[in-house]
Amino acid sequence: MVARKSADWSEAELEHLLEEAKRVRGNSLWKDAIKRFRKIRVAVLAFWALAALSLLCFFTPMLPFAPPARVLLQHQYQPPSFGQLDQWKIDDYGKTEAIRAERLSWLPRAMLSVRGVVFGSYEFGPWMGTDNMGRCLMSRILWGGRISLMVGLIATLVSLVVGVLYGAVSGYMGGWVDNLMMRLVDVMYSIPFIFVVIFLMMLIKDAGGGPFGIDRLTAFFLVLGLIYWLTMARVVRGQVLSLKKKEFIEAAQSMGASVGRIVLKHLVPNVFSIILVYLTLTIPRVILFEAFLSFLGLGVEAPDVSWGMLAADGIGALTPLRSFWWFVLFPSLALGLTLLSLNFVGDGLRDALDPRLKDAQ
Amino acid sequence: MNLGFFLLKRFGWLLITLWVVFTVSFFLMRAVPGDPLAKDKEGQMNEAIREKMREHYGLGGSQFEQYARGLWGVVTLNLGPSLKHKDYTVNQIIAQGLPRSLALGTVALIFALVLGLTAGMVSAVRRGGFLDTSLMMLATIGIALPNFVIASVLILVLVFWLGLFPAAGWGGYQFVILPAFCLGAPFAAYIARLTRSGMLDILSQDYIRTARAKGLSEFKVIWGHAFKGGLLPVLSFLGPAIAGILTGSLVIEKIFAIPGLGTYFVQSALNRDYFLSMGCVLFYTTLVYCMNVIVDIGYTLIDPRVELE
Repeated sequence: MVARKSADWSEAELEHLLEEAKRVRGNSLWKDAIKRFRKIRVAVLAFWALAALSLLCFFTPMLPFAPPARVLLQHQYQPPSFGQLDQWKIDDYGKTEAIRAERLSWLPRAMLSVRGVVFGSYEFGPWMGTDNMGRCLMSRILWGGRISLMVGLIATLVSLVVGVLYGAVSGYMGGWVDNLMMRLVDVMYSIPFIFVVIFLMMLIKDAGGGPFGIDRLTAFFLVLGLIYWLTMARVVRGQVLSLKKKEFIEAAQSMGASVGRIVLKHLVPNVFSIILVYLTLTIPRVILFEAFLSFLGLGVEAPDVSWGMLAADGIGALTPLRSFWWFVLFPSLALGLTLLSLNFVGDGLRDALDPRLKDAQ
Repeated sequence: MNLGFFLLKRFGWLLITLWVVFTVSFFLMRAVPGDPLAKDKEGQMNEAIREKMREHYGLGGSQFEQYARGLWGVVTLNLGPSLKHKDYTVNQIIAQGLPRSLALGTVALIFALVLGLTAGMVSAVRRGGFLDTSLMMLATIGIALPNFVIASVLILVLVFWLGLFPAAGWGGYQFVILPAFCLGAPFAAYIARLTRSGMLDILSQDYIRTARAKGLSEFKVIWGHAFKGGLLPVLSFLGPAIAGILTGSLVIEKIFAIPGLGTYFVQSALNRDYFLSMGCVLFYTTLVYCMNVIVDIGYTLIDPRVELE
């Protein structure tokens, strides 16, 4: 009797508690993090700058920019000005080898035709000057931004998938599997990958995508992604290893939760914030590396444009006789500001998500 | 663990690493269609000449024979002939380029250490002040910007507008300063950050309070305790920094037209000079690996709490 009564009582109490819990909404980690992120002015500013740049690059084909590859030798090295260089024609994307319309995927092609309908033959003037072949530098920077940003995103995603899977499996399996997998990572760590990648790029160029059945740009994305997964794998493994032994995982196991539920509901959300921070800090490194390779002439190749290539062109045109300052300055500025913003956002996210900092406040 | 055993173990791992790099590169190279010799010559080549050339470049025989021969060459430190630089072996080319790259890299490392440690220490001592904020802002910029952006701006201003340095080339101290600065700048930025946080960490410890309480001068607190503590994270960063300087050297040597190892390596990749390229990769791997081992040993000398493993 007594026992049943107390059980009733505790059930009522439980109801009460549940009611109360429904009214009081706790602050989730993410709400807290966003709140803290908003307080870091530089990071917010950098975030919006990046958002604006990404949108601009994405919609570049739809806006009245000059064709990035149209060669006008009579307009070589023209300083920044507002006058229109030439009449815009869709043919300029097909005739010149540099950006051939058929090489573009359906989305930018559709955007280009929309642009033709809306703006006609109007195009913006060379606001950032022209390059050594009379091509509009502003337009080249924006088209180059499409490639540079895409490399950053895709290669980082490749590294994310490989690294998280590898690390999670290694950490979750434990024992000799873990040992073997991590030894392999150790060996790969001591290889200076940048040199190996340069060697690989030489082979990829020679192969022309032949034996691997993929085009060069895709191979480039994959190679870049495949060198940045090592640290991710280590970070994820360490996290999984320590989380595996936590009480709440044990509690979930004792209540009969399936492995899938434990991984998805308990492990992943806990690792996610660290992955996100690492992700935002990897993107600038990948973009930097792409620029580095393209600068050396071993990355993105002539039909496409990227920021590293533009920077190399600019430095190549530096002479003591005349300095074409715009040709050096604007590509460097685009690359530099993007990398700086990405670093600010990454640092801001880390500060916002770091629990130690949360305790201190 | 004693030093001899540590070195032996690291040497074993180095061999494994080199073997992995060699094997993977070798088979990837063979997976690429086409004959590296055929690309070299226009038109037809006499079959006998081709056979002789194959022999000269070690391309004769079955895959396995070639592999064994190549591996034996690496073991005996003979990296074979260069495909494009006629009459030169890979060893000779590396021996020619290395001193220039090492000189450049050493000066860059000295720049990075001097500038980074100074800036980091000033920041830590003047924590929260104007100097600290502006130095750390500069460090963030230095970390984010690629070295060729820094180089292009500096060339534009210092070389072409002010005429302080020669634009490019090699052969005298004035040719080294600007490239070495551009090469070292990002690492100076990292070192400044590490020094600052390391010193701040030490300055908040109890024993610093004790030292101050017993009347130790601020000068002694900073030099005797805090600076030493701030040096540790910098030391463990030296391994990655050296690897990074070697990498950055590829770009800087290209910009300033310095005929160093980096230039040869990049050229070999652009010219499809397979043997030179692979030789350089193996050489760089060994170099970076050895630098890391030296840094590890140096770490235990400065911090006795750390043991070699």
